[in-house]
Amino acid sequence: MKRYRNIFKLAVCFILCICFLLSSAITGEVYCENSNAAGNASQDHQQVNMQKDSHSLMIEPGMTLIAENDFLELYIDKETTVVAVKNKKSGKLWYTNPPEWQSDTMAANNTNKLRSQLNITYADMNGAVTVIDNYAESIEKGQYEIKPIQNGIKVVYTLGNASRGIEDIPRKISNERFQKLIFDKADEKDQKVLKRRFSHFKDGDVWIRREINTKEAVTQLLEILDKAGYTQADLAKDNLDNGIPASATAKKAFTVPLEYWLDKENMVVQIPMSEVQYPEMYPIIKMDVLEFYGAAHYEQGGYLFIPDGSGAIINFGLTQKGYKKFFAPVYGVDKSILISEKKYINEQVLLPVYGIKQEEDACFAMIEDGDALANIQASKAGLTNSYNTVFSNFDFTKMDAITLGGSMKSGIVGYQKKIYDGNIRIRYAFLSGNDANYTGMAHYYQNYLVNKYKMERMTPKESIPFCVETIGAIDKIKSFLGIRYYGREALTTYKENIEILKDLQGAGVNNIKLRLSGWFNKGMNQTIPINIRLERKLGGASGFKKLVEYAQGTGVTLYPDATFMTVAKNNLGFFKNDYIAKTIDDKDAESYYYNTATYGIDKFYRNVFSRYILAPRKLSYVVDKFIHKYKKYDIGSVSLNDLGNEVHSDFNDNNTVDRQSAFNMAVKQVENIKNSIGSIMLNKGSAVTLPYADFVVNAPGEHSWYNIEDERVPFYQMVLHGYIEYVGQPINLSSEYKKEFLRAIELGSGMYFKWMYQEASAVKGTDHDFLFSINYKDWFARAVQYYKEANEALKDVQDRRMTGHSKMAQGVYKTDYEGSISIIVNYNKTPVDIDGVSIEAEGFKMMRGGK
Amino acid sequence: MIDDIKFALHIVIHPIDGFWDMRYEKRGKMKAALTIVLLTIATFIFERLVTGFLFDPTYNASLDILFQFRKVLFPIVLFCVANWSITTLMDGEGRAKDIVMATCYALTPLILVRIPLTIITNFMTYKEVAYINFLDQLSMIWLVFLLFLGIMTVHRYSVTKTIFIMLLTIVSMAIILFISLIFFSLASEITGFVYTIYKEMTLRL
Repeated sequence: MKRYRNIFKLAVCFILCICFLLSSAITGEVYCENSNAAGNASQDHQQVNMQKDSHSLMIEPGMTLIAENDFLELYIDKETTVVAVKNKKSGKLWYTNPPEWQSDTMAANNTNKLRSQLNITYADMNGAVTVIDNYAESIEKGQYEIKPIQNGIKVVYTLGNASRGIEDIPRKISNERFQKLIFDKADEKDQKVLKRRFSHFKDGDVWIRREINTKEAVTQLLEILDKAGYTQADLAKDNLDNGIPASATAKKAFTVPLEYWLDKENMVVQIPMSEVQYPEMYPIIKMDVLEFYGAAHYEQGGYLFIPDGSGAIINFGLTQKGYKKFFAPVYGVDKSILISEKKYINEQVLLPVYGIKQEEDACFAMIEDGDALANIQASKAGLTNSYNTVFSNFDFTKMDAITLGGSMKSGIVGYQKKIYDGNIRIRYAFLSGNDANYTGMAHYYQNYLVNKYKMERMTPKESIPFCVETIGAIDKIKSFLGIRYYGREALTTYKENIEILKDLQGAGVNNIKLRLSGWFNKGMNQTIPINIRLERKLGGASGFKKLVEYAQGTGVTLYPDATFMTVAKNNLGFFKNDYIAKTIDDKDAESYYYNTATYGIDKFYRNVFSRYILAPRKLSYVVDKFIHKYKKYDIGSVSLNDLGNEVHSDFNDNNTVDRQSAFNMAVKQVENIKNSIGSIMLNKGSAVTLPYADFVVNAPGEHSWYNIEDERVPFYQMVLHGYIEYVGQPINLSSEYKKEFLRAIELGSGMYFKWMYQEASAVKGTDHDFLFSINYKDWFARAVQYYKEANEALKDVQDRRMTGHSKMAQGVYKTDYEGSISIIVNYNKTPVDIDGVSIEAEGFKMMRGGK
Repeated sequence: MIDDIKFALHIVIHPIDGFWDMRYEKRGKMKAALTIVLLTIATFIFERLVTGFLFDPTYNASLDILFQFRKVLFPIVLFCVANWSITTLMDGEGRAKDIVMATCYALTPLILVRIPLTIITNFMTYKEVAYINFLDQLSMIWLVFLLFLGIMTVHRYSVTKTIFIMLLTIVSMAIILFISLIFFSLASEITGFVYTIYKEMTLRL
């Protein structure tokens, strides 16, 4: 017996070997296992690592080559629809799903998710939400179709119940139609069956279907109906005639095509929304796309990159207690959907990108289309499986519970009427070697913007920018004979602006950018900018003209600030409904202020600062009007307060504008302004609007400090530096101004101050009393000194790209620039020694070529 | 004119005699009474504007004149309505006109005391706040005292009955406030209800 067993074993081994050789011969090169993978680690550990390396370097059996170019190879496994891309430069394979999913002990019963490419969340008409994945609902059932496309492949998944069922049998049918369409056409045997399955009711003269419990009975009946030639159209008519709701017959089947193709050094993944089908009664709420693309096991080395604020990285590893997933909507929250509670104060996601670095390779994703619908999600291993993931999901149908007043809670749920019909497109780039890190990703994105949107390299100026924002007029309660009214209080008149400029120039400050806030249309609570009314209190038209002339004569760039996306609440009166966006329950969309203590909407600030959201369809009209009026002043530059950093949809019943369309409209208007006015200053510019900007203020310098995030990285700055001048937060409004100044040095930004000419007492008792610390005389000397110090350090790197950023020690950061210039900043209150270089407390040092 | 002023001062010093003359000798004038109310409002505004910095609890905030009107008129109207409703049932002899006049004439000490007091605050130190408070409260006590005697005289009540009537007046003032509060909240509830029906109809149909 024993001998036979050995022979059997040998035979099995032999067959396996042949199989292996054959499969590798078909699929391409076989890579040898990396033997020095684990170093001195334990035997056990070594095995795990070797297994992983073999997976990432060797193509899985069953994968077939679809497309190939000089940089990449695209493979698909037709059984599991797993797609892999090989970066030819390093040989690294990037799978849509982790190949070793079976060995994941943490996933337990959750392995379907590991094997799926799409997760669909749909809702029914009562607002109940269900999540399905395309492995269990499509791949396993064999409900998918693979079609070749140019340079790639298209997989069309049908999720859910595609086969016919009980809902295809009429529930109720009139006697006349029953006889004519079905009964008369059936043979004798079938007629018996029909009589058994349907019962005739005299009342109303209808046939009603009896309860059917077995699958066999359903198929039998369906066959009879088919033979009789009873069609879907007939069914629909019977349902309509007899008042059967469509929901009772709707089939939960979703068709989603997923295209992959190679475009030079990128792989592009696209979902054409026009080909996505779903039952009307079950709208797709959102879809996770390639959740496990490049997912990394927690024992691997590397990190996830997320564009939270300036950017942040999450090191691979297991999650810890209290950690949550990172989840953030691209371009911030949509204020057309009422958020009744806001618990976190967080940074905005301004760039629709994310990345993952594994060992010596990195994968970088850019959402090209559908970016405004996207949310970026990242999670550490250990929650439901052993993989670190970062991916995007897309909101298609927005829904919201509609509260009808009164004490009775009513369950009406409203849905977005019209959804986005363009494409969802994600472009993956693969980096290796020295580029395989977030710096490489930033440079990749920079090049991408340069190539695609013609972002231009900056010409070096003689000094770094000094951006000063002045507040023009604010609302203040005034009284006439003891009768109160809201009047305007001038904080900095046009003439006083000239004075500030003169003082700055006198102190030797160059490259001044003057951002004028609250300079027209009732000041800070600016009315709709379809015309420009200069405040008389600030000096009127003649005063403004003098300011413009002075600025132009002395080389100061003037950026008068305009707000487009929101409208003052007391502004529109009768025409309100023409101009403002609506929420899902048809209320006026409003931007709220939240109370940090109660999380709720702040009623006091609601009265004071809340503004209506402009309907996106009106934006082009408003912008055109503004440009027309603005051109008269011949300024050639303008600052956009909210265009390009906020996106709000409009759920108006007749005129729904989805978020992506709203965003595209905004981008188009930024372009329009760029072409007709000239230089643009953006407030927190987001992705596609950045190439139009010449200057960015309030560039995020921090991440949101979620506990899952390990480190802040200056990704945003790396993308901009050398191309667009930027500044962070106003230094004088920071809680620690010295720190803010050091941060400006660290992040290579210019100096930014927010000033007013009046004494602090001018804002006392107004709604703007938080501006108490911005009197310009108090800050002048320090600002000039800071400017000179910063200019000394940053003057020479203005037009150089940032090539690296690293933490040297606690509170000590080094930023590298092209041409081996680096700047080390010490935030500590004690001097430090870094590699023999001593840096004074709260100071910085510039080094050329390591000196 | 001079007579009216003299009569007002007479009431302040000899209330029972004065109110009797006002009611039964026809010496009171409605015009004079309303002038006193206006002067009271003026007193409050004056106080608001002129009070010395040390004694000004409003930190120099801007004056809301409409609020000053409300502050004086609202309690007077409320008191008069409540008192009239009670006394007509409790066989008081005063007519509505008499009640209003008595209430208005009773305000006189407020004017007499507070105007000089406001001027004085500009010359006093914070240590002397006790005197200010004393005089301030004195004017109020005097007002209440006059009001009490005025109501008593006008309706020809005994002292104990007046005390009883005053308490009832306070209760009925509270009831009036309560009912008007209910009325307004109910009204908003009804409009909300109608709006909800409209909304539900548009959503479900």
